[in-house]
Amino acid sequence: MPLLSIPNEHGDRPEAANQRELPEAQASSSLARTLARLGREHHRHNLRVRIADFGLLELHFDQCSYRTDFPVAELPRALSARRYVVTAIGTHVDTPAPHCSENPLTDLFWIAAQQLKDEALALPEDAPLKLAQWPNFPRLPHRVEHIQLCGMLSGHPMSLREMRAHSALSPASIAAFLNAALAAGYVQRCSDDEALFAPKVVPMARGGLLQRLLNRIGF
Amino acid sequence: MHTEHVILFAGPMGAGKTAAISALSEIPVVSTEALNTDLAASAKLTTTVALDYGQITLEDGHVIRLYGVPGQERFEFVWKLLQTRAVGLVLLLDACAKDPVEDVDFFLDHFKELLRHGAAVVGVTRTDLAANEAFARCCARLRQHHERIPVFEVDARDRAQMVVLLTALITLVQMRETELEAN
Repeated sequence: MPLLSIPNEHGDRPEAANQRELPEAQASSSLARTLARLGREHHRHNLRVRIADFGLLELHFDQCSYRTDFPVAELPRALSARRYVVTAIGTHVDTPAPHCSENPLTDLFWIAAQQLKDEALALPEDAPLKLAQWPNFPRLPHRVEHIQLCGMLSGHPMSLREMRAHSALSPASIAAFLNAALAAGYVQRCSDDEALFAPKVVPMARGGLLQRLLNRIGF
Repeated sequence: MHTEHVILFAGPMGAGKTAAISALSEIPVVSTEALNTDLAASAKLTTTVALDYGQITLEDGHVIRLYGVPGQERFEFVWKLLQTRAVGLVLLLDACAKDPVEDVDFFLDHFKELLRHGAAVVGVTRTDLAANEAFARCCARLRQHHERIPVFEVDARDRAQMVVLLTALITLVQMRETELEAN
């Protein structure tokens, strides 16, 4: 279970030099679930997370980046940790040490959300969604369905209802993708006007060249 | 009956086009390298002077033909000729180049004919060697002017990463074909 942090009695102050620990995380929450909650709450303060058995993870919301002092390849395991302390830190960012890696914050939320596949999707079925940016798939954990769904959304705002109707994918696959993409900011809700004037929705092609390619390369 | 699908690999000299085709092709790449005399553009010893060729054979006789076009501007006539036959474009950019964002504009302008009927993806190579924010800047440029073109960080020698790029491209090619049929 996570190391319990001291409840914050000072409220939501602007950054000062003092570091303070955030309100207690739920006892059964993995770090991935805690980060997903922080992402949904549009948390503003930069954070430092000490993860038992791994090291330090820093989230710099003002720089839209995160930094670790352990290899990024270990991040999925680190995010499943239940022993960690989250501390709010100031906006001053030290130059990263040579052994630290710095990466986009969107990648971190995407990786974290991959561990929360069973989360219910809290989204109205007819809310129009748009693809703001493709995830950097060659560098991120992904499935081929994620690429297909990005292809569908590319240039065509769609609702969850339309995605279910026009793709050959299971509702669970679509929900898992949207949970991750919304948490990371790759997919965003768009206005009704944007959806109104957008090109007509195109159904996902079934079989065809893509399926032949996937069969050939064993994706 | 064989059905062929032509994919072009374009980009400035040294971006990794030949390496990318080698990573994907099921046959040894037919490569057309000569001594590089344009060291100001790239420090590479050799450069492609005609077309690199590779292929992927699919079931039912379908073939994906991978053509690497030479990156120097004097071969622009080759780019024009091939666009009409191609369904997709892989644009590879070198993060260590002088101005990768300028390369985005340059190449997408020269391949606009292909973009009208096909699809494209962009791969930025050598980001681990570049001190700048080349990848982020290329993403921003594409979001501004070509919002439907995805951009990825890739190592052109890495087959798994190039497969992801190709899968994204073929997904978009199929979507584009369906759109054109519907309109």
